[in-house]
Amino acid sequence: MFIEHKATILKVATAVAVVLAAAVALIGIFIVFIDTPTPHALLATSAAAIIIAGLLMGKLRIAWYGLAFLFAYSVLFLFSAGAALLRLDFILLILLIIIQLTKSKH
Amino acid sequence: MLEGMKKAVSMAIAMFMVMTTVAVPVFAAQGDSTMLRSKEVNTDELKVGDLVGEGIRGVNDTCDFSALKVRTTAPGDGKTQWVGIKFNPQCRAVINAKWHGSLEEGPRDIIEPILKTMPNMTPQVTQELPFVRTDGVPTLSATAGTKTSEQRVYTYGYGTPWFDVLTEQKGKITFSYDGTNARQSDIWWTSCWGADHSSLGWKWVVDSCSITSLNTGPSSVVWQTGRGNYHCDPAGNFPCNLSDPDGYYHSLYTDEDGHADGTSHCTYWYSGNIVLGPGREVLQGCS
Repeated sequence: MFIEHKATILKVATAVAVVLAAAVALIGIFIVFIDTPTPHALLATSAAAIIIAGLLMGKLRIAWYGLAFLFAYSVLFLFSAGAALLRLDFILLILLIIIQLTKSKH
Repeated sequence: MLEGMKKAVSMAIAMFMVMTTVAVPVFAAQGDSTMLRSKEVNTDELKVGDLVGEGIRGVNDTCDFSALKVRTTAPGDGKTQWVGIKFNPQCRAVINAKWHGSLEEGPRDIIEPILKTMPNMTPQVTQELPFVRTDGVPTLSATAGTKTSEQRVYTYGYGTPWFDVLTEQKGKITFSYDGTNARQSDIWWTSCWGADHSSLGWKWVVDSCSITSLNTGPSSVVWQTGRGNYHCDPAGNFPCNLSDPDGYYHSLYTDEDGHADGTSHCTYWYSGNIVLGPGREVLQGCS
């Protein structure tokens, strides 16, 4: 059954991950320009952009690098902006694991 | 003492180089009457670059100095000791040259303007007086003047003090001093700040911000102590609940004092739960 639906799972997980990463990128921009001015939130936007690029190009390794970068940012700036992103980071982590497993069994 | 007096034939010579943009009233080394207290400076124990006095910025961008009584010991053998003092745009008098012999033996860039502006200048000889000391330290900064001391104390997150400041307090005093007394001007304040991420769900709240101790003088020392109380709100939510108890409740304290001799000290401390810190940045003065 898993094998039958793996293509669908891969597509859905990838789509959700891209949307989530886009949300992270927008939150980063929001923090920089609307919340307390914290230019470093552009790092979160950059990390999200790397994840999106990796997913769209089908190069999962790049997406993993982007997620690692995003986690690092979220923990480092936990008390100023990172905490808001941390939940999304974990969802992205689960989605990337799903995508990775689906791809590897392809 | 008599021997010392004989030995110490002092030549009080002040050479003033006035910066072009600042009009500085100059008072002779003998202590002409001025509106400010006269102080004596022993240049024997000073080197080039040391501060000998600080003026007060007046109207029309002038610098008003107290009488600057400069004392130096002649090297003997009929030689003359020379001391050059330069007034900079910050109203500070700083030693910029020391030499003995004739005036012409001094650094060219220093003596030429002097010879041009004061061609008939002759050194005036005075008797050495006991040098005033406090705790064994020459009272070199005991001229009249004003000073501002300001500091910033802050806590920060894991993102370093440069990029991740969470709470902050600033304290500032401006005081005048004349060697005997210090008094605070009416500019004293403390201010507090907390990073506001309420749009993301939490913020660092300033619960109160006040001056808890204040002495405006006149007295040998004036001071102010400021206190800011902060917490992370809502205390029970992530990430504010990472402290024990929840909320990272803490206080930052800043203390600035000013002494009659013109020195100033700034101290700081904290109480309660903070993420990291506190860090401190001296914005001005505090020395």
